[in-house]
Order: sequence, then C-alpha cells, then structure tokens
Amino acid sequence: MDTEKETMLLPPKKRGVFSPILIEMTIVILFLALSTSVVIRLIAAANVTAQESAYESRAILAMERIAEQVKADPVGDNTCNACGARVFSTKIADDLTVDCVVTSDDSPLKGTLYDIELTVTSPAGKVFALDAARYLPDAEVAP
Amino acid sequence: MKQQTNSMGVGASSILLILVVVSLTMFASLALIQARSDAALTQKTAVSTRAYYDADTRAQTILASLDDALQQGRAPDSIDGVTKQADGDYAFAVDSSDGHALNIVVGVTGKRCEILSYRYENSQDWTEQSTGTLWQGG
Repeated sequence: MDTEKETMLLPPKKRGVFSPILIEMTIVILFLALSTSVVIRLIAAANVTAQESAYESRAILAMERIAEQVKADPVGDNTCNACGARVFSTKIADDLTVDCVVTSDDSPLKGTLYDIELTVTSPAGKVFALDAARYLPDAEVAP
Repeated sequence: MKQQTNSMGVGASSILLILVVVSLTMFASLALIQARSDAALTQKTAVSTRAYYDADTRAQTILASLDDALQQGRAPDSIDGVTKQADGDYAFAVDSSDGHALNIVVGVTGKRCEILSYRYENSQDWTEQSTGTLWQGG
C-alpha cells in the first residue's frame, strides 16, 4: 500500500525528448551531407580531367595542322628575326594559340633543313610541344 | 474512432538514403573512370603523333644526307641504313617508338634524289585471332 502511495506521489514520467525517428533523421542528414561532399569532389575531379584531356587533344590537332602547313611551305613570308628564325603565332581559338619557330640549317650541300618547333601553352600553364623537320632541296625552293 | 498509424517505420529513410548514396557514388565513379580513359586515349594519341614526327624528322635528315652523298659523288647506299633495291632505287626505314616504321623509297636522278614512296606502316607482326566466337553467317 505504501509503495502505491509513493508511486502516485511521484511526478509522471517524461517521454524522451528525442524520438527514434528524429535521431535517425539527424544521422541520415549528416551522412547525406558527408557523402554528397565526396560525390561532388569525384564529379569535380572527373570534370577537370575531361577538360584537360579535351584541351590536349585540341592542342595536338592544332599543332599537327600547323606543322603540315609549315612543312608544305617552310620559307613562308621569309620574315626572320635577328637570330635568323621565323617566329609566328597562329590563333586557333580564344584559348588556343600555336607558337611556331622555324629555323633553317644550311649545312646540307644542296638544300636546307628546316627545323619546326611548335608549342601550345594551356590557360593552366601546361606546355605541349611538337617538333618536326623538312628538308627542301635548293631546286625546290620557291622564288 | 480509428487511430491513424504511420506506415513508415524507423529505418525507411535510412534505406532510401543508402539507395541514393550508392546511385550517386556509382554515377560519379563512372564519370571519373570515363574521364580517365579519355585522358589515357589522348595521351596515346599524343605519344603516337610525337613518334611519327620524330621518325619523320630523322627521315628528313637522312634525305639531306642522301643528297649530300650524291653531290659528293658517293653512292647513296654508303649511308648507314640505306639499301639498293633490285630496280635500282634506294630504300631505308626509320623505326618509330610506337611500333611503326617510316618506309621510304627514293630514286636517283642526276645528283639528287627523288622520293618515290613515303609510307608510315606497322612494323609489328600481325597475328590472326581465333574466329571461333564470331558468327560466321548462315
């Protein structure tokens, strides 16, 4: 009897403030935030890799194109700088310019060996280079 | 009065979250794998292009040497790698680092050489694969 009285005197038991669903939702939201940050990093890395490889691909194609143009006509407009090299740049796109240096080697007895150096510098500062050469016998030099 | 019960028990949101996270991670990983394979292909193209122009540069140097030899009255086959063919033309090959070779045939007219053939070919042996798994038609 005494214990019944004591129980009745006690304040009613409070229910837990955090229900199981609330705790689960909190954990779910935290986990989702963490996993989303990891996923965003993966997608960002994929995007950077894709953009870099796309730029390199365009740079190689552009350098090949300029190399073949220069090989077809290595003398060009014959405007050489003080060092005797023909230096020019060709703009392919807003973010893609091919720099070209053509130097001539007169050591062959009956012709000229042209050395063609092509470079492309990406906006990120990476340099892509391609070297080519063309031997032109004297008889074939355009007047 | 009927009491409405919540049909979504504890754990349903966790299961949904796991599905969403697995899907997102899978798509992100696929994107990264695709980007990396594209980058690898670009690298192969770059290596192949540089290998071709390297071989081409060496071939142009040999052509200059051939002309020099003819000017000096020497036989073209005195140059290392140049061989005389049965038809009187001269041939030489420049190996490339990616398994190709630049095969060049030149003819001699007077005191200069003229390019007759300039071919960039695969120098590795071709091996036939088994056609057992392929549909042969009919």
